[in-house]
Amino acid sequence: MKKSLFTKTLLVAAISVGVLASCTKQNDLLPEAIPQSKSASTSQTSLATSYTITFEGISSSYKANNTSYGDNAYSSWTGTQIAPYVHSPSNLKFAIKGAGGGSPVDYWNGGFVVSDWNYKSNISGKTGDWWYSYLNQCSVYSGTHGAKNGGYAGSSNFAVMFGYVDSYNSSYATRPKLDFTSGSGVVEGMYVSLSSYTYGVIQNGNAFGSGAATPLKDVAGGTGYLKLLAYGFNGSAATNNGDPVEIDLARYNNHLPVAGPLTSWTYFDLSDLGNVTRVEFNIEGNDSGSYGLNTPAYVCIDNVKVTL
Amino acid sequence: MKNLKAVIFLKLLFLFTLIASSCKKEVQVKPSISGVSQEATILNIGDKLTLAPNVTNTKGNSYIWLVNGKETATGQLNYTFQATEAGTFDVTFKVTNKGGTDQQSFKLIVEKPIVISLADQLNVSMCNVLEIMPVVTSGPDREDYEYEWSIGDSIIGKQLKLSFISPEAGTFNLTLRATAGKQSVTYTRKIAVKAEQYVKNAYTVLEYAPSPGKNHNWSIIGAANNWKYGDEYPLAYNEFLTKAADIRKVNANAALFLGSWGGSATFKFDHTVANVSGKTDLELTAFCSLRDQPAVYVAYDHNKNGMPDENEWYELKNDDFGQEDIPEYEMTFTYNKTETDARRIYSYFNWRDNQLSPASGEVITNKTFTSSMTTAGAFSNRGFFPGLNVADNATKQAVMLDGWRSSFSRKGKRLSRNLTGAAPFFQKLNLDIDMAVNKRGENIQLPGIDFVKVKKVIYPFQQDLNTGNVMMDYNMEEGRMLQVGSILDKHLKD
Repeated sequence: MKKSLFTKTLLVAAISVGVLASCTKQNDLLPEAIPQSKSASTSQTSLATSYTITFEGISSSYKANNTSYGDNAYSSWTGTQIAPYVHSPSNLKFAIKGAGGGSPVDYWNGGFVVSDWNYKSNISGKTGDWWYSYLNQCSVYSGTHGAKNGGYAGSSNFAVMFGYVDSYNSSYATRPKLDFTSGSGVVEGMYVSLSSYTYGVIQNGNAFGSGAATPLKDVAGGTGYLKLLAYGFNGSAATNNGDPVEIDLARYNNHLPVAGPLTSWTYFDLSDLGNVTRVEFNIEGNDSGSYGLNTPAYVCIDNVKVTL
Repeated sequence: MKNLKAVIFLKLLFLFTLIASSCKKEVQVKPSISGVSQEATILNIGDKLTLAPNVTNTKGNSYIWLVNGKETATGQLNYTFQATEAGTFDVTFKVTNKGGTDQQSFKLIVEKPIVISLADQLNVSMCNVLEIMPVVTSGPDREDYEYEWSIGDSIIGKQLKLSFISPEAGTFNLTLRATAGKQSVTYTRKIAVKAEQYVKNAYTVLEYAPSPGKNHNWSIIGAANNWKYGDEYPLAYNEFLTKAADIRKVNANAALFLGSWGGSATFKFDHTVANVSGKTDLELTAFCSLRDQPAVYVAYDHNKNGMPDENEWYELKNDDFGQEDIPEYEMTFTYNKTETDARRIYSYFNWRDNQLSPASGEVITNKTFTSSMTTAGAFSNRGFFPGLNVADNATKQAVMLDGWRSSFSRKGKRLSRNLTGAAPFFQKLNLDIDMAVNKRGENIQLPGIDFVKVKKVIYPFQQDLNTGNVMMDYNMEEGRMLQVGSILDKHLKD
């Protein structure tokens, strides 16, 4: 009897949490029941709720604006700088490194910005490699060119991550991260797609490194690759025994693609990282030289699924 | 009477003076010869030398020239010597007058002509060394012989013996010029170089001795990052070498993962790579930074036994040569165990060095089954001790394949270095066989090379902001481990 009452109480509490969440959050709050296979049998975990963070319907103050460069993502911007986006109620924060501390920040230091740009080729007045340069860094290579429907499943908004750490910059750079401003949760996964800048350079190469523009398919004897890695941390402790989970953003063998380049939104399973307070990301590739990675280290993410 | 006496006296005085005067004119002074060098003059056959000494007191002189005591000319102040045969000649100049005789000797040495015996026709296959050993059958007894071999305007040798090798087929005019003293002689021979088919890459792997580390993958023949896509070959040791050769023969980029400090591999060309003067001869592709390039050793198969002998190895000197802080470092790696649970596999190995206060550690590879499968459905060897393999997905039983050892040591020089900021990448190293040195750093002239050994000798340290920029040992970190791809003969045409 006691057990039955307790179970009912938990059920009411769970429904209340769900209703509360639905009432207080914007369109990107899509609570989902945890699939049975991922539910534990304890009453405690049965309370867990999943959210899919879609970035839709959020204020423009969180988004890269003015141009697809994201002018408001830099300290030189004279207007109001892009604000960190903290999803509620998960408290998962998407921000430029150092943002929220009161001082202006610069996107070139890495981090996340929300965007709805999707220029996939040059726009009027732009020539050359503009569409795959940093001047178009906030565009995703998805959807209909310029139609602002490049997000997952044709949605508008998504986030653009920039940053990486390698042996060249390890003494001063840190990995871009998603962290829970309070509490913790399981970042189950997310959809990823290449930015226009990264995709264009993968296809056409750029003049970094050797000075010759080499498409990724021709790097390292036809075995070029670019991959996204995610590391979990719960406080100061690494989760998943310190091992990252990873997904190929583009990979070639014998000059032919064996994975990607990801121009359609592809699910990146992060569940092996377990319960975390933050997830750190890195981008690795073998189009690199004495100054490190040559491929632009951007990736677009959308529909981030979090279980609390 | 008094005047008569005076006249007589004057006459006698005049007569005496006249007689005295007449007697003085008759005294002859003997001639004197000068301007004769005491040093021998060296001549070659065919030379002419005019001897022209200075003579004083020439009145009434007679002149005689003698060669080796035999009179050859008279009555002339100068003498022209014609060198018609080799030998040592004393040319004596003798001057005589009533006052006496003077003589001086010129020492002339007519040297033997240089005669060299050299085969009329020379033949060799492309990328093979032909030892050309001419014999000097005649020549001056001198120590200053010099030789110069050339083809066209290219000098290819400066010793009498020539180790001839050509990466190109064809017939060439090979010229030997020998000099000794003032002599110079030139011989020209045709040398025919027969065309052969060779592979530019040193595809044969004679020895593979990797050093493990975090996520090191001993089974890679290809690209380490393609472990999932078919570049793993978990085979018994000898089969692995055979497979590596088969793949590298058709795909020069297929790399081996040498790993952490001490890891090495020995490769063999199917021909001898010519050491072309003034040019780099090899292009080696390696994954490393600009500050931890591998040590490269080369060997020429002097005794033609098909294998590199210990005394045939020489290091190609680079900026790191002689910079080692531990000349005889040694690390011993020992496989410990592999365990599994429902989701994961855990594999352990230990390492220990040979220092007075030994450093040691344990490296644990743990990975989920789901993230460790190749696209072909095999369990990846990434992170496993060399030779360790899980062949059965059902049991997850790890076994050491034949020919691989569960404990081994790597030895050699160690250069400890802070590599902070030095990004590793696949880079091409252009190597010159002329940089071959022995252990004392002395240059060794090799006609070419047949074998290449590549070894990681830099022991890396690195600072990382994530760990507080404390200098840390990065030897076992995946990104610092050495991979070696193609080793190309730069002279061989496609």
